[in-house]
Amino acid sequence: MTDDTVIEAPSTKDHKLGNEIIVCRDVKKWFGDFQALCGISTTVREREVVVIIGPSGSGKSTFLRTLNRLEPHDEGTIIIDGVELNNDLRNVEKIRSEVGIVFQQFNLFPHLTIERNISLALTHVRHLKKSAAKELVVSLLERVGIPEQIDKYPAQLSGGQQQRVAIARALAMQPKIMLFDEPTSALDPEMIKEVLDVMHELAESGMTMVVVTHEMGFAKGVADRIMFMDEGLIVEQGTPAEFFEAPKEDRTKLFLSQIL
Amino acid sequence: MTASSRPEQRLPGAAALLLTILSDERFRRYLFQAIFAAVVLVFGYVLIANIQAELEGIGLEIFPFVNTKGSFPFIDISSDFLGQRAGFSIDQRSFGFDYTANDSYFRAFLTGLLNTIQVSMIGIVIATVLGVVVGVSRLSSNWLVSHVAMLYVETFRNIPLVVQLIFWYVAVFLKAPKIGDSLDFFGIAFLSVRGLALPEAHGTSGFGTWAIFVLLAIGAAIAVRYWLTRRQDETGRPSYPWWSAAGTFVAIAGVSFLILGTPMDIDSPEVGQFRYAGGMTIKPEFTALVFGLTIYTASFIAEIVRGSVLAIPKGQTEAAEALGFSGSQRLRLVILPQAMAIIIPPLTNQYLNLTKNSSLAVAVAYKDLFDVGNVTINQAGQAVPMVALLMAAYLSLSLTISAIMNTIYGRLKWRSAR
Amino acid sequence: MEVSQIMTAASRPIAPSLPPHVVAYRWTRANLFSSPGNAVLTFVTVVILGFAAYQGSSFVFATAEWEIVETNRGLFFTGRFPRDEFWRIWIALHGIAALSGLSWRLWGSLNLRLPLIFAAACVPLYILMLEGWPLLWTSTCIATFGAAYFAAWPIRFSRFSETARNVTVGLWILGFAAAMLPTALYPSFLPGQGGLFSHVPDRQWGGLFLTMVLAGVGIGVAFPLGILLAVGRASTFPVIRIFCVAYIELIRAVTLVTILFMSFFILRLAVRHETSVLGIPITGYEVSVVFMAMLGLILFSAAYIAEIVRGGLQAVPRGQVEAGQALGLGGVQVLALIVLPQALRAVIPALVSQFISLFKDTSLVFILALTDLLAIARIAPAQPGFIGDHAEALIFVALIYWVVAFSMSRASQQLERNLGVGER
Repeated sequence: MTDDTVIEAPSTKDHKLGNEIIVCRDVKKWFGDFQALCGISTTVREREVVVIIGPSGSGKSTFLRTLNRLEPHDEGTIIIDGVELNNDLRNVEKIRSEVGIVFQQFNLFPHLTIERNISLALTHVRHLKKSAAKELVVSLLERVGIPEQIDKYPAQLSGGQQQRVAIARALAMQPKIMLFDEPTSALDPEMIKEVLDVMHELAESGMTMVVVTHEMGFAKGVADRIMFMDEGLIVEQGTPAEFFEAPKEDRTKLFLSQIL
Repeated sequence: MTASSRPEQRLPGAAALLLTILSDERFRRYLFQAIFAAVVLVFGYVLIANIQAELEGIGLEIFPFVNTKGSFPFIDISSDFLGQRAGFSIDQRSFGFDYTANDSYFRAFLTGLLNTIQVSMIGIVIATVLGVVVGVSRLSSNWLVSHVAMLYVETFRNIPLVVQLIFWYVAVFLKAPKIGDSLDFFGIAFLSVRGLALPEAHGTSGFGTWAIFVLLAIGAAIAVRYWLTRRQDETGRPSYPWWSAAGTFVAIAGVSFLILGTPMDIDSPEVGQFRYAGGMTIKPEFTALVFGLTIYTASFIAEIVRGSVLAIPKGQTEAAEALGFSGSQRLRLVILPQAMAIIIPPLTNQYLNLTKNSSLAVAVAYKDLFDVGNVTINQAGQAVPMVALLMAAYLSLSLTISAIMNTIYGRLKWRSAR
Repeated sequence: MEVSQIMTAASRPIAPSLPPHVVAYRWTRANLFSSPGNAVLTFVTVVILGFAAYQGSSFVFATAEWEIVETNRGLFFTGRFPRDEFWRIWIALHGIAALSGLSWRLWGSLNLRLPLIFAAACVPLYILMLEGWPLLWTSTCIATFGAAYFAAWPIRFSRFSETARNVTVGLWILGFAAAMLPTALYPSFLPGQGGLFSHVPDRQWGGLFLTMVLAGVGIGVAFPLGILLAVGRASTFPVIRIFCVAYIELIRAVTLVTILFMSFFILRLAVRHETSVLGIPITGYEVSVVFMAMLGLILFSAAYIAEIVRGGLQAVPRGQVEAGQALGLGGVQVLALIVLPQALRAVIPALVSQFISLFKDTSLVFILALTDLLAIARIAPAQPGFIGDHAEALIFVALIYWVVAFSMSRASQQLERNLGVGER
């Protein structure tokens, strides 16, 4: 049923995919009586871009959130960069410092300036000096394209700008893996492109990314592998070419017919 | 599988194991709670043991670190004292509850409790009426009226209740003229420093029968309202269910009253030398307490009413206007029902506050629950059980009011489907 | 569209400005007499107002004897505080003035309305209340305030502003502790039991001074305690949550006077008895009445503050906590840096309202036979020569309470505006 063999995608990038950095074996999770994840097994390699699609309630967001312990999984194992994700708080801390996440609702801190939003974790977790942190903030804002907003407050920015700040904030911790939980679903249509462009650039620079999204254009153009989830299981996965042109499972075909 | 990116731990096995356990999330949770519980329990134990010991005059030290003397202490609240003779009198009595100085402390306690309940009930009713009037005035389009209401609210909200109570008592009602010079209200009521004298109604023979007729009248009125409302809903023509119900009630109750030979006696007060003869005399303590409580609480209720009406989206008024409703129809059918749901929680809070604030009666020498408790503590010296009793009594009162208001709230929510 | 309908702004006729009496007439028509019902209301209200105003002013200016207030000014302000220890109070007032000036410069908005109101309020104070030494010291207080304000002038927008703000907060806490904390830890806290004022027996603290001390300490300690309770109530640890819920619900169900009584009669017993743990005596103090009154006020208010803060905590979206956690911030860091600033900002009006309530509730300590401001109003008319002047004393006291409470509520509105989004 699930296909966990590593897929060697014909990469458009200069660099090939690296070692396995996320390994999931038979991950299950319940919310009370409801089973959200019914046995997910998959691996993600360094520099790979995996896009997860599926109907709502399929468990894609839940799975994404188990990867940095925003939700604890009940059964199965998750190993990130060699560290097992369990109740050991030291492991959780280590993993969280290597995994960044971008939320659908941005979740910027409204009472802090953009600069402070990004530098907060740098000063309080990495214990950087304020001046060093500020330099990093400036370079990150330039990377996402909005260096002039540095002293504003989130409410003064547009949705697209806020999400780009959120990406910068996650990147500030220099993670090895970036998770994206429907990053453009809360944006007005004219702002989706600017965020997708940043994500594209990120992928080109070699970041390992796991993205839950409905943006099929992004999936086709940037993903190395597409994973279709339904009812808590991986139904099918493959390269964009295989996936969109020759889906194997019926459920996949049904889903694709509904969204394309 | 990549090699672990964590640097090798060079700790001895036992220390590493301990660190692993301490880092476990679940373990930490249990440990933290266990420590917290332990601290609370030890603290509580010391507190209680100390109180016990002070009360019994023995020395006590906490085990196991220091020598333990004496047996394991426990709280021994002796409530025998409650049966003892009280020895103090209570002037104000509510609901016809009898009490003399020869009765027990417990009976005194009950008398105080009934006094508190009476003041609270009357206070809640009057404060609500006054508060709604002032709150609606605040929203009036008449500049003068709305600003006078604002003046009212801002004045009485910012002065402590005790100050207001004492003012009413000492500076107003105790300054009333002597009984010989009573203020005369059309010969029906009199006001003096002795109190407010009002006529009292007694039921004579046949009153019981009439009471039954009154109940029947209520039932008939309810039935009439129900049928007429249904007919109004079905035919669409107005059939004035409320007016008809009221009329039915008045008709049945009034006719039966006359037929039974008016079984009620009005006892009118007369000015005597030291007190009023006949009728009922409301003491200045009571009037001061009621005035102070209601005026103070009404200022808060006014703000709640105003806030809840303002909280209703403007679109509601606009829609109602567009549909052709008149001003009073808008208020009655659209605004007030929605306002009700918003009002109830903060209003409940104010009712609870009023009930609790009635304990300030001690400042105006009105023998409410708290004042009786105070006297009992001073006389019998049993502070611990008395304070516990007081807290239990106020707790019960609070819970009762909350329960009543929550049921009303629940039914309102269901009906307004919000 | 007809040509005549196309009008440029310049060619559109300007409405003629009306003579003032026409404006006044129209306003009166619209606001007071817009309908027959309204006209009746206006008429009735005017009659009632006129009657009340007549009675009120005839009382205030004719029948009332205000000498009771004038003669007893000292009593109202400080109770039976010994005159030769007044310097303690003046030190405290100067300290507060200096820190207030600093704080206002570093945090406040820059409009001029507040200082004008303040200046206007000083005038009656000077004329009616002060003479001799108090006049001098009050002036120096105001001067200190101004000096601190202008001394901090350049700092506000410089790069030291953040440090300066932290320093000021530290100074407030330090000053608070120095004034109020017991100077001797054991074996006894008496007689006055509070840092700067410890040499004066607590029964002699009185008047407005006592009221302010009770309110200040009450607010200062109940606020953080309330926050702790609210956080505990929202905690995922069942033991802590149940404890906090039980405490909050129990306290909220009973009256303040009961808690004051409980604190005075029962807690005092517990603290008085000697207990030692590991040979260190942890209880066994005689505690003062003022201490017990403060404790009662604090325990009572903390429960209500906790409920208010709880509302604020619920207003912070869960995503904020997740974002903080995902960035690697620890639980306490997430709480202090992300959740609490947002939660507290959301409930400022309700919080300040509770502080005002606490201030008003200090008047209840009269049941413990403490001579606070209200109690003075009760005993002053017992003096020979002033017998029966209850109303004058009470009105004066009511006025003081009203001024403080009203100022606090206005200040809270100002605070809300200052802390709005985009401003710090």
